[in-house]
Amino acid sequence: MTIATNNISLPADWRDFWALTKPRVMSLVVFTALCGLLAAPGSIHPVLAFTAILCIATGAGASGALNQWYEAELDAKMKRTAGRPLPDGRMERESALQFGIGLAAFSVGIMGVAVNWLSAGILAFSIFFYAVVYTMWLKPNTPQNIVIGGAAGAFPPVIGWAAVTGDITLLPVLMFALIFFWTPPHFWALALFMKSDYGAAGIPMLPNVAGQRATRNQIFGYSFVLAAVAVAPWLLGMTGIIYGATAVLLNALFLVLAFASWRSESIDAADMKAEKRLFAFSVLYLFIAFAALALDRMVLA
Amino acid sequence: MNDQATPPPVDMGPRKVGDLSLEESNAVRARQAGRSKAMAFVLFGLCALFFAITVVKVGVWG
Repeated sequence: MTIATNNISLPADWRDFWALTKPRVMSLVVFTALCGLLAAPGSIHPVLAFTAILCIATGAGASGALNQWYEAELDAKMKRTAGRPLPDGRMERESALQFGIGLAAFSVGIMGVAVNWLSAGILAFSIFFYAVVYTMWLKPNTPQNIVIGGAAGAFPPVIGWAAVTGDITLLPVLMFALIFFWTPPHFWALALFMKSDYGAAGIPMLPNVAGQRATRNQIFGYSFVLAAVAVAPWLLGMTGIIYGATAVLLNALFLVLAFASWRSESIDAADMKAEKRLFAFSVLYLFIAFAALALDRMVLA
Repeated sequence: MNDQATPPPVDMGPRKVGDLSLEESNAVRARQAGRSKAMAFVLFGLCALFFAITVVKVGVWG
């Protein structure tokens, strides 16, 4: 639990443990899980709802800690991640591993005992998928890493739904698909202007392997799939006009920004305004889409 | 026989950790105190949460 700083050994700070959980990623996970929980039919006691969200957040934190434990050496090679507790030498790797395993066990155990074992099982699988399938297997080996790995981030609304209903129907599957097909254009837009960073770490992101033109084509193509999946809940009659109108508007904007990115020929990261706009909007897109979905379902209920 | 008086106790200041200097020792203790407070906060929160879950599960308030 100690590290050498200058000439003395300091125990890792509690803020470093907090940083291991990737709090910014966790906020998106918590939000989508909450929307899944609110969109589900039926009711859940507020204490159990809070517990479910806490367990999902803790599970996401466990995934982040295990990811940083495994990628400490890679993180040290990238500017964006070099300041994290492990590459910066503020904490021992073993501490991060123990912290991650502890959080994972805690989150799954409490979810199972307090809420239900279906949601606990999906939570356990999502932690395994992110830490093992994505981090250890897909990410260092294939440029399709974030396409398949995107599934890990798509589970929270399904877990939120399952916490209330104890089952899974078509709507949570569509919520899963929404995040799943949102992930490629979101991450590839980031990878385009972070290409050198990923390249330095030897991570085979699509722009490094297939080039920028192929990446822009893929972003544009996935944006159409995303739009189709996003409006499906409305077209299938599972939501009302609040979500329907929001989804149409959001996806029209997304397609416009993806088109601008597709037309862009910028090579230098500093000139990639279209890609940066698409990336920034994609974060907002997910927040608004899920908020509208939850609101719509609550109004319908 | 022994006319040498016992020397008065010397004020050693705050106790130090191992062979660390006073500043280093204080830095370690401040870090440990921060972690202890964070752990106390987490444990207190968990106690409250487990109590609430138990009450809900047992059905005291319906």
